[in-house]
Amino acid sequence: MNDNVPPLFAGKHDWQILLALLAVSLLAWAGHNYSSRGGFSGACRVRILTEPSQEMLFSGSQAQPVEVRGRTGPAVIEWGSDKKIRIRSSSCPCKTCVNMGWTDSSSLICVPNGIVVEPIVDDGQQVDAVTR
Amino acid sequence: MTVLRAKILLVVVAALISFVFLTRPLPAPPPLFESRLMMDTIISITAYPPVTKEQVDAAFAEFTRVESMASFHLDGSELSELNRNGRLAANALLKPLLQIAVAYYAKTDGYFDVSFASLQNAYGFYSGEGRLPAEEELAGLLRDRCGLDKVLQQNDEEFRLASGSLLDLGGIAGGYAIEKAARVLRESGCGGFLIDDAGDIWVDGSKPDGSAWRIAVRDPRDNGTLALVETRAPLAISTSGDYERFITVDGKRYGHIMNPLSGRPVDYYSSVTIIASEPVAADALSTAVFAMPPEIAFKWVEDRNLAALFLTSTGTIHLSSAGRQYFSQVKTQ
Repeated sequence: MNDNVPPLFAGKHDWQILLALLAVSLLAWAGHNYSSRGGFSGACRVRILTEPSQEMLFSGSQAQPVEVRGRTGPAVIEWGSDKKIRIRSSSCPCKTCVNMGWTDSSSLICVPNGIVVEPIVDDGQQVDAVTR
Repeated sequence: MTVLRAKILLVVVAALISFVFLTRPLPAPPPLFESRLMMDTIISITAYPPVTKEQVDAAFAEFTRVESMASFHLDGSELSELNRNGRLAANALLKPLLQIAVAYYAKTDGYFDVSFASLQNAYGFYSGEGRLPAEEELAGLLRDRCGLDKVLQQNDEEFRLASGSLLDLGGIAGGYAIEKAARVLRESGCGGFLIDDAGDIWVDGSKPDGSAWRIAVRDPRDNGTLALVETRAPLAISTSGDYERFITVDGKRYGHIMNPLSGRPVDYYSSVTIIASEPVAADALSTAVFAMPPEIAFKWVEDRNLAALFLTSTGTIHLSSAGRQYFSQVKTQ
């Protein structure tokens, strides 16, 4: 063995630098995987199942209710102070959608009016469907 | 620090940075997603590549086909013909669905009974004008017009329905259509898909990123999540509840699922969720179990090793033994 070859990473500062790099890398990796998980912000997607169907996105930042027009007439979507959403009124006959009340996770569905209101949950826990 | 050490440190830094960026999950190709108003509800299909719009259209066409023969409301359907005339040719397209209805009537000891349409009609579920029939009226309906084994007969030539009886196949038609649509997508080579018929769900195949399908069970009390089902295997999940189809009489709500002994709407549960290997099974069994009192239902699902989640009307949550391997993050109350 050649005694003139210096040992690798033998110096105290080399190990400290390596450990610091490792920590930074792990933090960056974790950041990439979890940085976008922000919970429910009131954002929702509204689909109107007419011919042709329509799709609208609302950020949830608006304070005022919005009125959309479905198959049987208007429906009003409202945001609460806690960012939950509901269908406040609908021109459908049964009002099941209105009776569903406030939500921040399950979709609100009005079959007669052809309106689906889907909360957009950005927490990495988005589900593919809801059985109900 | 020697030059050699510096070079190695640079290589290590480059490797670590590469690791960070190369291990980022690649965005999965987006699925085709479409919802349509069909069968008096909203049907959605989520299909991952390889799949084409035409294949998804073909899957939706199966719902149209089933609706055209099994709809209670369409005058031209074969079911309407049977309800109206009391007879239907034995080779009708509806035959397999009627046979499934008969089979689940027997399997569930009469708790799944498509002839309860006669009762639902008397309560005004179809007209939307709710009423409470008198005891004598209920007794007469149960005696003469309900009980599928009594009111529906089949010979070589035709099905015959007892006079005045009505059948409503809504409790299995959706599951049956899901099975047909799933076959279309599976045979077309679709990589993975989810079919959602008003909350009756079938998942099949896999997502491009390999992640599990995640199905939430809705908590009707707060629209939150009662439990979660995560799976990479094909399965059907169906929920029966008292909160979407009901009548209101004198300020009290009555659900549409009936007790086969009393003929009265049951109120044991807010929801019952069943997981099965076939959509029709999940569909029929969730309805049947919802109609059973808890002292029967809990044992019934255990005896059959069914994955079931109950939310009783008093707010108690009950999970069957088989359900423990499917349902996670179950609320405690």
